[in-house]
Amino acid sequence: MVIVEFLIKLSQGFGIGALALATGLLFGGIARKIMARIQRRYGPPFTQNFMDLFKLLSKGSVSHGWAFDLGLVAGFVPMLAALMFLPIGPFTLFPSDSSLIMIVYLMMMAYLGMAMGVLASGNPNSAIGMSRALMLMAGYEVPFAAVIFSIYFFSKTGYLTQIVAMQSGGFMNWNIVKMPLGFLAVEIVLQGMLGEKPFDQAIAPAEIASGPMVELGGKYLGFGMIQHSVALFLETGIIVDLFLGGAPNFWIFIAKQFVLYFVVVLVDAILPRLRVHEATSFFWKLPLFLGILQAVIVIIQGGVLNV
Amino acid sequence: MSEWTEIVDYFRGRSMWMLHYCTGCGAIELPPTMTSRWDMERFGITPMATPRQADILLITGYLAIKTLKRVIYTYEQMQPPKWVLGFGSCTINGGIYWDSYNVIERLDKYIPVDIYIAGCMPRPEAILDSFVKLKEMVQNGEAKGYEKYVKNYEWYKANQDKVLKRTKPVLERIEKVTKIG
Amino acid sequence: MADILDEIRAMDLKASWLNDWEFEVIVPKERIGSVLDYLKSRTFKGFMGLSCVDWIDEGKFELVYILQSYDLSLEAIVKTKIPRHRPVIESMNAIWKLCEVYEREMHEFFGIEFVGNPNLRPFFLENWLDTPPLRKDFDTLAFSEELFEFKEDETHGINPPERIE
Repeated sequence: MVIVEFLIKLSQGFGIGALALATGLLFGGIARKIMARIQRRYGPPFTQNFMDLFKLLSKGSVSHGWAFDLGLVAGFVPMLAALMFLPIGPFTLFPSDSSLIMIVYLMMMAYLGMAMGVLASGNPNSAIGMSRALMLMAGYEVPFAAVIFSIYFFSKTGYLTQIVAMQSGGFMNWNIVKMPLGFLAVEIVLQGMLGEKPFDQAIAPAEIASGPMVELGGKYLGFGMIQHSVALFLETGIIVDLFLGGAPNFWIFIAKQFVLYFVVVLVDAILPRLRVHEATSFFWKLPLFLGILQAVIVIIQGGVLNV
Repeated sequence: MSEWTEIVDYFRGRSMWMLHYCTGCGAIELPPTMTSRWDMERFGITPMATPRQADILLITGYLAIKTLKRVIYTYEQMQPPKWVLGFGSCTINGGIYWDSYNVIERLDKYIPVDIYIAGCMPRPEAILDSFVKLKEMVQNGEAKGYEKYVKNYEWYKANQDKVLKRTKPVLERIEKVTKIG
Repeated sequence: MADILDEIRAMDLKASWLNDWEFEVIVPKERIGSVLDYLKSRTFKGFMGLSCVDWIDEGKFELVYILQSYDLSLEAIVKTKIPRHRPVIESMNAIWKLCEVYEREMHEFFGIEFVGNPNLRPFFLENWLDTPPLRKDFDTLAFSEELFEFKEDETHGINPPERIE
């Protein structure tokens, strides 16, 4: 019986991975279409990202040593692992009472793995790009941590399924209504996490030749694309669970994710790129201020006033 | 197996990423091709930043001996399958630089070119036309320049070396340049 | 404004106005350094460029120094001729450091030797072994036909390359 259960879990895990990948690619394709329409172009078909991925995986590729190969795997696997703890609609593969902290930790691991891989290529552009990505991460992780703290303090748990359950029963119970400042901070953080403008310093194509991806070609670039798509699903998914009350089924879940991503794409379409120290100091000002203010409000509400 | 090849070729034709080597004067035709007037992204063609990521090498205009060397480096860094588009008269027969001492005459003696775009300058319509033609060729499995390069590497290498690795003067020296003793 | 020209003429040099903002001075090869030095002291501080003309029938190279005076809003064109068979002239890098680069270029394209310039390495051309290419007696067409196998027939060289498989 244990083996059957294991096989079911395994197939479900693969299913979630494939679903996240497909959703992420679809979102990317729709974003390209939206971007094109904003620029008054016709734009590629919304299935373009699937075709790109297929082509990349069918291309030849060149490796830069075992650390390069391993780094890409290490960048991709934590993302998949984090996905296993994420409540997707009503479904969670591994319910765990510390799933929130687990996901935040694994997300950071993924970036460090990718850093190891691309630095092994030895290209100075990828080193610059990666240092920018890590510096930006130092920027947005701080307000994100403040918001996570607020959620913890408010919900008195790190169990994502329970956080979702606490928000059930209508729009007024969602955390976005209870903690609007925290949501605002986390939406700005999401812009940085996804590396969209004005926070795309790490992959500035005309400046440092697409940064970390500079030596990735063919199948390796395909892996990078898979990682980005899964990261897109994961990072929007966790915000849906934390602030938008989860979802009763999968379709509503991705609809809510898309609303979040749509805002990101619109901001991406109109803003230019900041310099990296400007971006980092921006994260340490407005979003961090919002996050800390939210934490203070939550502490006063819960700890002092006992509302 | 042939069905699988057909499927792969279909998707390769629908998604081609381009690296443009713009040391010639043709670079000015590319911004309108990319942006809203002609919009090449609807064919799945996007500019890319590095040769590792690209499928198409678009060579705009003339190549001096110095830039030819860099083009060969760039071409050899690209991953197969890869295609080369020669853009403008200069890549076909030297164009207005036909008798220049420093501009190569015909690009496909040095690297295999899949499609030439004639004109001086070709308009963005011509570029888009060549992209569509290349897409058809890729989907029919005709554009195999990169295989030709591997198969005939000695021939290409000899041509490249003739230009790049000269050991003696090409013409007889008419007059000794005076050196100060 | 006119007195600068009189001063130059007083130095026993030919000088004439080209238009109301530039004039040319024709200087023998031996005096070029002192004339440029003098012009620099007379507010012509900007060195705009150095070019060369190949007068193949006369058997001479003509070096053209272009100077500018920001104070007088004038441009001075100083010309000097050197023999083609022995193109040697002193370097001006003591007057303008910038000259070094221009002289390097002239050395590469015309084969002129600048005495006192420490930096006459190859500049633009790679692996160049022939006659300097901008000399009039250098046959660029023959060079192109020989090295790039250009053919000037009705096909304009658009024959497919040799049949390869």
